[in-house]
Amino acid sequence: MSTLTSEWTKLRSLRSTTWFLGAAVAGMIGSGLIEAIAASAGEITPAEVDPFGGALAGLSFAEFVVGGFAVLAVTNEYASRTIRGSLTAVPKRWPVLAGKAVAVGGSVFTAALLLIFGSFLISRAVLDSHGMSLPAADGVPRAMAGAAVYLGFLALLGTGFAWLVRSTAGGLAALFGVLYGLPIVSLLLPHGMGAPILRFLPQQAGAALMQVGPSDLLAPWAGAAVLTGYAAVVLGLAAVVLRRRDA
Amino acid sequence: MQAYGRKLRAMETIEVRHLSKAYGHHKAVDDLSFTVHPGRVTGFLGPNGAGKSTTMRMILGLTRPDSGDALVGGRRYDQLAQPLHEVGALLDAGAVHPRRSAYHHLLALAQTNGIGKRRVHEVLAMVGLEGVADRRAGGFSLGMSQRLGIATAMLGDPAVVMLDEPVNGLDPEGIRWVRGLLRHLAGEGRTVFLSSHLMSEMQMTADHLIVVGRGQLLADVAIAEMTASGSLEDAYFALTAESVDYPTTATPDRSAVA
Repeated sequence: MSTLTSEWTKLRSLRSTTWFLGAAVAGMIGSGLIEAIAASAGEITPAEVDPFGGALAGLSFAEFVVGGFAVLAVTNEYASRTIRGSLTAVPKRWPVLAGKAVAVGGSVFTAALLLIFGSFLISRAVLDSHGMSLPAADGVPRAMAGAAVYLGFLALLGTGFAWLVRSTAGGLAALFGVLYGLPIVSLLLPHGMGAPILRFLPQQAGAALMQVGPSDLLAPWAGAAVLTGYAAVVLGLAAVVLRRRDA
Repeated sequence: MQAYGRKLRAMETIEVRHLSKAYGHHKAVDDLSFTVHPGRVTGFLGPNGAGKSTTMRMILGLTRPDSGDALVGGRRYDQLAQPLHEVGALLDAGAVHPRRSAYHHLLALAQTNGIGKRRVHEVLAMVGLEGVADRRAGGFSLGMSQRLGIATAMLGDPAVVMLDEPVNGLDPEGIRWVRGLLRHLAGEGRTVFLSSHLMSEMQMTADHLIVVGRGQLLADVAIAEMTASGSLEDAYFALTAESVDYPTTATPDRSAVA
């Protein structure tokens, strides 16, 4: 608990946190309101409105913001050499890793939840005022909360990779390699061997959380379980490596 | 002199027992044993590459020894629940996030060991940085960074204080202040262990010396004994003549005493 407070102090005492949050707000709200803006301009037909009112349109942008935020939260300790002070204060070391994961993951999840539901509500009100209602679909609130969970998961994964490689470039490469690289690799496997694997990759498991209507994806709960598994493995491995490695 | 700590704690020694650490074929620390006692300032001397910083990192649990152990108050550092209350260390004054304020740098460390904001302000005042507490540490001079490092070491009001080159970059006033602080802390019964390459400064500050060369113990003596027949500098060169990793030519002073 005390390391969580400390990690939260570290985050809020850097202006870069504000910049990341600002970028996320601009990106998520900005793209989330595109359908509402198009409706105001009369440039969109009711058939083009999605069940989220566009609230998830900024998701890929948010992935990059979240990835950068999470990786830097760890690697800035190595770049500035404050890691030695942090580990001297907490020689068991894993609480530092856990505290950072919760502080980073928790703040990303909370901000994402507010931004997604916020842009959804605004968008729906604007579309309503133009006489367009959102198409009905099952599990829209679940899907939007799922998007926030997915971004929180990315943050956890980002800190985990960053602990393992201790460099910003390496951490980002690992995170986005897993997100975007692995699906491509799986599609290159012969005889369609990749297709069953694809569903279990992090990005597709995340998509499972956000699905509305029928799809080839895992069930939402299964997607959540898969993401939890990835986060647990990467953070667990990072904790072991952090414990064993000289700082 | 003002009181630097709130309460006195049990006296604790630093015990280094058969400590060894190699990096590849290079033995940074080689079967090193010594004890640092409370109530006095113990200087840690040795040429560059003698293993001083590696030894200090092993005492703090940052670097894992290949063999042997380092104990603080009879326990391994990683067994201390709230180590900042037991050991205050300054290893690298530049190790601050350049865009974080001095206050938040200290606060984040304090919070891990249940130390409150009041103590953060206290240590900032102690080292004379209260007026710049909200400034980014990246803009600090070397001397200000050293003061911030000393404030960090004092956060937990520790029984053991361990400082690696604390007076580097300090102005004469700062050097004098550190000397007074360390003497005072030792006078309170704390264990003070400091490394420095400044012989005259060490002669004025330390009561006892641990001298190492090539990772091995060269001397564990009272400073009075070391300086009985001349300056500390001369005695130091005589002792370490064989263990300098990067010998230079044309050093008449050294050949005169060797």
